[in-house]
Amino acid sequence: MHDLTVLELDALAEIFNISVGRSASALSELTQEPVTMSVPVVHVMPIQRVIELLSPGIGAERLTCVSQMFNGSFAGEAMLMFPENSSLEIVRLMLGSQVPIEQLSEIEQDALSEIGNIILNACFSTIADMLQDTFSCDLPELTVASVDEILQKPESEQTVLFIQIQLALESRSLEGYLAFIMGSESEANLQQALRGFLNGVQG
Amino acid sequence: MQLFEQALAVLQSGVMILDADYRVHFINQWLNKAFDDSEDLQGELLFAVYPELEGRRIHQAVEQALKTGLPSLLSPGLNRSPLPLYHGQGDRRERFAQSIRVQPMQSEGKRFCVIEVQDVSSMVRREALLNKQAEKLNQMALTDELTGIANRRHFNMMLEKELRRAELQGTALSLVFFDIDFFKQYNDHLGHQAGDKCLMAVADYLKNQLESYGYQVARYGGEEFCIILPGQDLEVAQHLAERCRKEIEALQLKHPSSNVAPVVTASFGVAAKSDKQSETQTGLILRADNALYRAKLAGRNQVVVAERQDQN
Repeated sequence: MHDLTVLELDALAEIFNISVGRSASALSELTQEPVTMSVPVVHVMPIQRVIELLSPGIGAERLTCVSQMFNGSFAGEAMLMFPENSSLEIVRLMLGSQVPIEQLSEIEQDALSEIGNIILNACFSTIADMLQDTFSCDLPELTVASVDEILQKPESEQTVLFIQIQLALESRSLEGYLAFIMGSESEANLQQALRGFLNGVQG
Repeated sequence: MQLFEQALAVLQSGVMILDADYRVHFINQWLNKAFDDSEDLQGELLFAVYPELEGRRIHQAVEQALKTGLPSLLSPGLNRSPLPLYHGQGDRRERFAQSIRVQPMQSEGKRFCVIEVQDVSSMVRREALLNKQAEKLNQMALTDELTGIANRRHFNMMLEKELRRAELQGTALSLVFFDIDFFKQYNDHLGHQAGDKCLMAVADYLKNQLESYGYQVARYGGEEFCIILPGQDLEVAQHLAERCRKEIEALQLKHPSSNVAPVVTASFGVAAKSDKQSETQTGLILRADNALYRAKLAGRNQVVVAERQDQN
């Protein structure tokens, strides 16, 4: 496996920008509020690096994570993560509620799972379109826990396709993260599919 | 009938299988009965029977399952009631809140999707009740019991929020602190009940006169009140403080033991953050409080403005 080239990273950024754009309009429609999303950065790095990256800035704060296991030409676990406080803010802005409780209620947890599901599905269907691939995946699961608990996997050798997303709604701008955790074989398959896609575009 | 079919028939939640043409391949008894007209949906095209669902989230979810093979979750928070499903009899018949899962399936090379529906109306009701109660408690924790206006805790929250907004949008923000003159003597002379009435009268005046302008008023503690003026500069705040000073005097609440006037008066301190500079919450409060202190030293019943921060 070689590192992804700049061109390949750009192609991925493009794919994810389209995906989050699609999910933003789906969410706008659902909530009747303008929602915009963009992807400033796409990065490929070892899982340990992601843990380091998310740990210091967020401190002891927990993450809210919606994850779906996926299977296709590349396989693994896809996650959408927000700092716990941001996730509270997002779901309350979207539901238009003002619950003064510092924890996610049952309904809010379900709503967040759906928000994650919409965003992750949009990513999968855009990737599938572009790379002419199909994916199967599980229903979303919601976890609220520390970075370590969420990302500490038994096989620590895994690589993560890590994507920062910027979500804006009602004059608030919030940061979240998409992470696709995959084994090295999957990573090579992804790179191969990307090359095929880029050759197709250039040819 | 096979055992699993019997099981599906007695299930107290809904199961429906659609084929690639959106035709109802299977629907269990519970779900069939819950649809508004209880005709058998078995074998019907779901979106032909309910064309109003076309293009909605449930339609998109089914499409995604059948075409892209991706599962979806429809939560009651974001979609209260995606399908026209009803429970209860007669007058009590109502469309219920649902939680829906849509999952792709393959059988003998053909694509299907399974729609699983739960009636979550009691959860939705329970949560609405909890929210209402939490809101009430929260309201109580933020309101000053005697005067019914915001308490210090609420004031701190409001100021933090307004300051953050002013910082973000580059707008001004002013703060007025004021204190009823010789209030201890007022209490000693006329009794605590009269003291309470005096505080209530001042709070009523503030609430009625200022809140409609978007200014936020609070009782900071004891006989001290404060006013937050979002978006307003020092001049506006000074002008407003002067008006408040006159109007509190004009309430004509007799104050026999005051050294400055025969009626209740107040001393005012004003501080502001201009649109250009930034300011911390503590800094702004300290400057307003310091100006108030100087108003008292200077003889009370007057307005003193804190020096501009940028001239320091």
